[in-house]
Amino acid sequence: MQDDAIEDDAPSRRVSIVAFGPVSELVGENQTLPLAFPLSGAELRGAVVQTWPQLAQQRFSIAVDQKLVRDEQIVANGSELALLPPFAGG
Amino acid sequence: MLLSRLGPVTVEIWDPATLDPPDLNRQVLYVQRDLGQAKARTAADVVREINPDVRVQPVTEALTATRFFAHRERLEDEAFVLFDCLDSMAARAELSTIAANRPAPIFHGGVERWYGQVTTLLPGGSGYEGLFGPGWSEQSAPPKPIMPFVVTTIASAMVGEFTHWLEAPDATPLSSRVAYFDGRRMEWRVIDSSGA
Repeated sequence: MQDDAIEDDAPSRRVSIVAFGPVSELVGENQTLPLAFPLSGAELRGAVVQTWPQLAQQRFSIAVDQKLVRDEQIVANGSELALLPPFAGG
Repeated sequence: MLLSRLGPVTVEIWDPATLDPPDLNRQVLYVQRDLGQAKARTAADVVREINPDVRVQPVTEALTATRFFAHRERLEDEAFVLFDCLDSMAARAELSTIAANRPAPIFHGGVERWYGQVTTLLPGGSGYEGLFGPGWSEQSAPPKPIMPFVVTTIASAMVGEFTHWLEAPDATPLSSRVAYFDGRRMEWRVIDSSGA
């Protein structure tokens, strides 16, 4: 995992990553990511994809501290990022 | 199967497929002798055996909004709910169109290998787009196999949501949340989707 996902003067904090489904297999277990809040949902997604480029083609939603975040929403802070792909089968 | 044990409900089962051997790993309504048979008809027979008070109508066509409403014209004009046990986002787009034309809750379940999600989409909410984001209907078919216990776990939670909805149709435990199940870790994670 890279440590320079966010290039910003704001102090960053390590946020734990929880991933589901195929995303978890690409990201791995017990990962963290340095993030400098506030960030939009799109910026969070960008930081994730910058760190794990293999997710660029993967569809997934992001939740911060167990709240779903849309791309345009601004997130003030957080300690856990969940990466949630849709499960399409039945 | 659980739904039919709740009481004298009326059920339409939409499925255009016939039973293939891979279905037997997770679709608990069926047994070996059903191979090659229309799944909707076989499921209806099982439901009738479980509870003769359930009115069940099999439909052996692929679900589309047009077919759904054409079919319902022949039925009583009564309230209905939608159970999303579908295996593609394209089919869910049809379900979404149905719910948009005739407001009805969607009890959604989705599975993929070891994982699943369940939520309830009430009328007036952000629907599948709020849940999955823009372009959601373009998602391709998921890989198989799907672990059988994941399917029954998610299906049970969907019927649980329906049971709650019968008591409180304006809000169910998962109408503003999504429950994700990780069958590898045997963990649930419930995500607040109210802002989506």
